[in-house]
Amino acid sequence: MYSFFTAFDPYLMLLCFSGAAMGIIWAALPGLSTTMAMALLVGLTYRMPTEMAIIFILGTFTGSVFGGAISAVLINIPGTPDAVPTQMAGFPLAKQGKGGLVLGMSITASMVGNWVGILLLVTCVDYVLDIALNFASWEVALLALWGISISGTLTAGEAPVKGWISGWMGVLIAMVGREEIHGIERFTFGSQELLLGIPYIPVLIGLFGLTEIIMVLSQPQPYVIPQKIGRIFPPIKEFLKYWKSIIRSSIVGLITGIIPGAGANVATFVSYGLGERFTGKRFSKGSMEGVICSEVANNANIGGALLPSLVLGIPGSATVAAFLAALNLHGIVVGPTIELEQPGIMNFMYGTLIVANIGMYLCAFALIKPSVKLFSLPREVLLPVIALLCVLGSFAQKMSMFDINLMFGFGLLGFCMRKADIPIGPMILGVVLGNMLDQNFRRAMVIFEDENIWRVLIDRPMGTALIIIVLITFISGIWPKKKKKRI
Amino acid sequence: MELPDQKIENKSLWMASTDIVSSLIVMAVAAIVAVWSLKMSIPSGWASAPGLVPLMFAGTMFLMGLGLFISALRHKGLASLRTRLTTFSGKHFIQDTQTKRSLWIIVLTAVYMLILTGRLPFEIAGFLFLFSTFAVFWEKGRWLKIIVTAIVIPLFFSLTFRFLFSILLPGDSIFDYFL
Repeated sequence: MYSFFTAFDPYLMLLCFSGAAMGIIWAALPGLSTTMAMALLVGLTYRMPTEMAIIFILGTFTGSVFGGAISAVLINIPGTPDAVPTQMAGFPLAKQGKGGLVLGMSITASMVGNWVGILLLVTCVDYVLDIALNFASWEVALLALWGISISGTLTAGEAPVKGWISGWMGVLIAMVGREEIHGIERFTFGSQELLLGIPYIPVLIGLFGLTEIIMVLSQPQPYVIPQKIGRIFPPIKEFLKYWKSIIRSSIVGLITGIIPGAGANVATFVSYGLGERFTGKRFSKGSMEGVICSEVANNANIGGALLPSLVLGIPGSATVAAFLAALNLHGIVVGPTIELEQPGIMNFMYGTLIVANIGMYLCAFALIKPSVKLFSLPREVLLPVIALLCVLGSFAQKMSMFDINLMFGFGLLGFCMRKADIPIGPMILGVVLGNMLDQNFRRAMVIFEDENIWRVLIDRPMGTALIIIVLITFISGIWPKKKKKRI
Repeated sequence: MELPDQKIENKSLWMASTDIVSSLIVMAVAAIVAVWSLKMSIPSGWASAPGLVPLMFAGTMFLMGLGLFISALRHKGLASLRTRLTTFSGKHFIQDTQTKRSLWIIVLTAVYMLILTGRLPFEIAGFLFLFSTFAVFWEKGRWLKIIVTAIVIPLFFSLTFRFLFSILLPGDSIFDYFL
């Protein structure tokens, strides 16, 4: 029998805090993703009693979702794909010596996001699931398309078409391998390694990690991150100044979390994009508000993603799937009968999430100063060391040398793209979401095959709304440019 | 000396000529992918055809490439590209410090990632890579500092990942031979 207060047992809390610290450190290392951390730690929890395993894994989960922001802000290499918007808004500020404050702000934003996620999980399970269940293949495909196109608009500055090209290339890269509907090979050229597709981890490490290494070391005088970090704890007044962005990003994080497959990648980009749109500011030149938008959405996503996973048994993201695997290992079957089969387990998880959130907050603040010290080492020393981590990160997922070669190839591609002023962020989002878009789009096409197009538009209002939003994203990407020309 | 306005115009011309090349590459890639997509088998109608989504994305990417090409033409990209090609000097390009440094780091990472990794134990490959990159980019002449750092870091990673996280290392670890 589990209960809410079991999670507040001092020993369990300590275990949760150590999980959070491990998660933060793991995700701060470029290329070592949240999913990988979860997958590795599932094995470690095998011999633990169930409540210890749950609290440790949820601590790791919460910590690793934030951890990606550390390397994103301090070395311009996002630890996870979700941290790309944080990197865009936070790194320019870190170069100005505000690295500590940016991280402090992002930790606080993460904590607020987590609280919102927990509150949702506790209070509006049924209502939110009703919305989620209205998202069928058609809507999921459109949501993925929106995520990719909005990331293109956001990252490309004055030429959104370059961002869209990058995102579209990412989708085409995701098409490589055996497709899952008919089992037909696409663009594999007879290669056995390509049959399973191109994994996103080597792509992420190559595009961001190796590209950054080449770009920075080719500068005769690489930039330095100032060691003096000044204030870390953000002034509450300044944080609360962004209350509108906090509320908006929480909602975005939650909704994208509960939609199976959409995940934190879409949440952070959409929240960042909406933030720019609502405030009329460009976050990419360095903005606390941009960091807040991204981090709140990223963390609110945890509660959102756990909701369908625990109640319906549908994992909201790959990371949550790893969490479900850990629960399964301990004999916990998720789904509509979870409360009947394990009375009190949901209450225990609510308590655990609260402890994990507190743990993440404390550990993250404790780790800021050492992180800034470490990442402010001269780039000539730090970046070659990171190259070693890039190799380890690419290899660790599948133990494949081919993935290291892929990572190198994508590193060179990223270097050429940055020289041509083509943003690399949308490409990674395209790679992550491409397969989901493909499968859901084709499933929807089969369902709609004999239907009248107007009927589809009327019967599926959420899909129609998403079509309009996608169109607005494209039109608004082109429109400001025309306006400038007229002036 | 260049005035700020001139600088911006030169940068814009430079980018326009780069856009010409990138857009041509994008259109070529999109066209090839579209043709391959059309050649894919269609087991049960176009609605679920494996080539449907790649074809749609390749088609729209071609149009985006075309848009970029036209925009670059409007910004005098072609003339700028012609000037860049006629004034290009291989000797100057190679002698440029930034080019030299780029080539160094690309060659060093290529040798490490494509040749040494997997063939040598992780620690030895890592030492060779770190030693050479530190020697080229860091404090030249301070050999002891360079050697010690290049030895300690791969050993630290190896111990942490191999024994703490139980992750296999590319090319195995020297500890596997001893323990």
